[in-house]
Amino acid sequence: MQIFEKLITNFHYMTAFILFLIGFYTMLTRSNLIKKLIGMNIMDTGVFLFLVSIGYVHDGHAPILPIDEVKELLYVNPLPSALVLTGIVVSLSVSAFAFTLIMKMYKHYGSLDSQDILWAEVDE
Amino acid sequence: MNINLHLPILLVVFNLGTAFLVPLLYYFKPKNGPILVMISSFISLISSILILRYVRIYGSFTYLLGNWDKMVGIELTIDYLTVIMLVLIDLISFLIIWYTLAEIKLELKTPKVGWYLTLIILLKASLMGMVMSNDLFNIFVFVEVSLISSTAIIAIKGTPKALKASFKYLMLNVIASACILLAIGMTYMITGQLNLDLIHEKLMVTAFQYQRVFLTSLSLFTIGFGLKAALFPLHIWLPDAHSTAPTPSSALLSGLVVKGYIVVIIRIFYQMVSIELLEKTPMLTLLGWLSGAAIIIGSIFALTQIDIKRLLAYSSIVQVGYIFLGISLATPAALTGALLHIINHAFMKTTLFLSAGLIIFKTGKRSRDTLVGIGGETPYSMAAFTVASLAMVGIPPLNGFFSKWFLAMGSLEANKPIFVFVILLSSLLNGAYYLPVIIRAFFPLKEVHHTLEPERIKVDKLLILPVLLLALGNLITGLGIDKIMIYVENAVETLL
Repeated sequence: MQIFEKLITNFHYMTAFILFLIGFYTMLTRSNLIKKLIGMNIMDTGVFLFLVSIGYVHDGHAPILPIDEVKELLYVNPLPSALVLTGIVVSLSVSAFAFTLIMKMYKHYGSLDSQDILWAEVDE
Repeated sequence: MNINLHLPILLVVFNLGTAFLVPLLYYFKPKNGPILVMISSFISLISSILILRYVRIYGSFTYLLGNWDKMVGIELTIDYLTVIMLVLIDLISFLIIWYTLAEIKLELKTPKVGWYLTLIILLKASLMGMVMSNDLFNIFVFVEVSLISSTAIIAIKGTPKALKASFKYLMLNVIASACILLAIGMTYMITGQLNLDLIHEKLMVTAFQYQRVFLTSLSLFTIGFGLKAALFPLHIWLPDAHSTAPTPSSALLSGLVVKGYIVVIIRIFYQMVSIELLEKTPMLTLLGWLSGAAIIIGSIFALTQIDIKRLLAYSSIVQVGYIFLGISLATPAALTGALLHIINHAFMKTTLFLSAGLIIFKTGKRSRDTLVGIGGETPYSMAAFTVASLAMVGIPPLNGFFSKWFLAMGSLEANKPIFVFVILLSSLLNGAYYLPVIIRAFFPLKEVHHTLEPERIKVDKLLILPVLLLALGNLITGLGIDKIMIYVENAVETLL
């Protein structure tokens, strides 16, 4: 029973890993290239959720110092959020780049299916 | 203020800056473009040699970016491992850029050339950042920069085959990047730090407390960087990517990019996790068997290849196996062998890819059965190919012998003599797939007459010099091995 209790109290980690696995599965099993990319984005979202939930503090405030009052504040860890911001930028640029590659491949092969592309014979 | 301390970061900034200035240069002054690119990469080479000299005299140092404390900011480590890699990256990419400037206009259309150079210099800058950074997340960012630029230099020709190979490369590497980011998150979770040295201090306590998280993050790091460095069962993207790319890209990817990831994994294993903790996990034993499999199975795959560039790509998998073997044995001699092999393989494989590219370009043939009697038409590039492949097999005065020697010593030191047998067997197999190419080229069984197109011969004179210099580099690093050993031994000392 202890393991279920742990899973329920840490449900955000579990969600993150389920998302990661869904994305991973989609990337490996779907033959449509766009679906593969969607899988990639789901996988990255899982990682981002994981990172953000590391920094979460229960009842914590946003990590901004109030101007007028100086008192001890409980705030969430800002560093993982900063990492996630960078991660989002990286994932966005990789997706954009991958979409241009897909467009070019569609022009050559006339298909978005990776099986078709794998066996297609196109003259150089 | 000492300018030498700022040189490493200036080197990265300088290369990033040039990378984005080159297309402008090619747009406005297409005639002066090549010479200015050469000058900029020469400046980069000189400054990395200055850093090497500084570290040799004053010892290794760390540099805080923006003078932020290392708890919050990014720290750069300039130790012997970093300077070896910096000089190697600069030297090899200088020669590759030289070759590129002479050759690439034959493979690409003019407006693309500037962008291609941008990608090459960007890749170089990201590799430099990767090897000198002491911050996990900063390493991740540089890994992503190098991922995008290396995918682009595979796809630059725009042929369907190249696009297919680069998409495969991108998809697998994106999975690797997600694994690395997840591993960084887990490491942060149990240590609260991103600086490698600070993580090490914390891990000595918390790794025992949170064993499962520690082991998961360690294996995710190994899978992520192993996939990027093409460790044996994760190598499937490499042959396509390295053989369809333009010649300079293949040389750069095989000679340098893979090495950047390997250096990061050395840092993670020996600096962040440290050998005491690592020996409590089964990771090193596992890596040892995987690299042994990479060496044998990669050689057998290489034997069956017809296309000469695919043969070289499979040979890269074997050589990566050697380097990981040295890492996994974790004795001073084995690690020396691994670091030496990083240097030597960069020279050997760059020479092989560039000379093979020249041979393919001049004769128009790619299959190794048709490359008969070409020694007469392409004497210089075939000579370079011969020198580098003899180095690959491990003939003594050439550099390949020394790294294999140290690896064999290391496996005896680690009391695992089976790996000596693996190294010997793979040297034989190396001979079995390189020597027939050379023998057929110089001693054809029957007289062969080739007719070469005249304009192809004219370009050759400009192209051949960097290839010959690289072949000479194989000999020099072999003969002057004692000079290199000073640096490598110091690097090994700080790691173990």
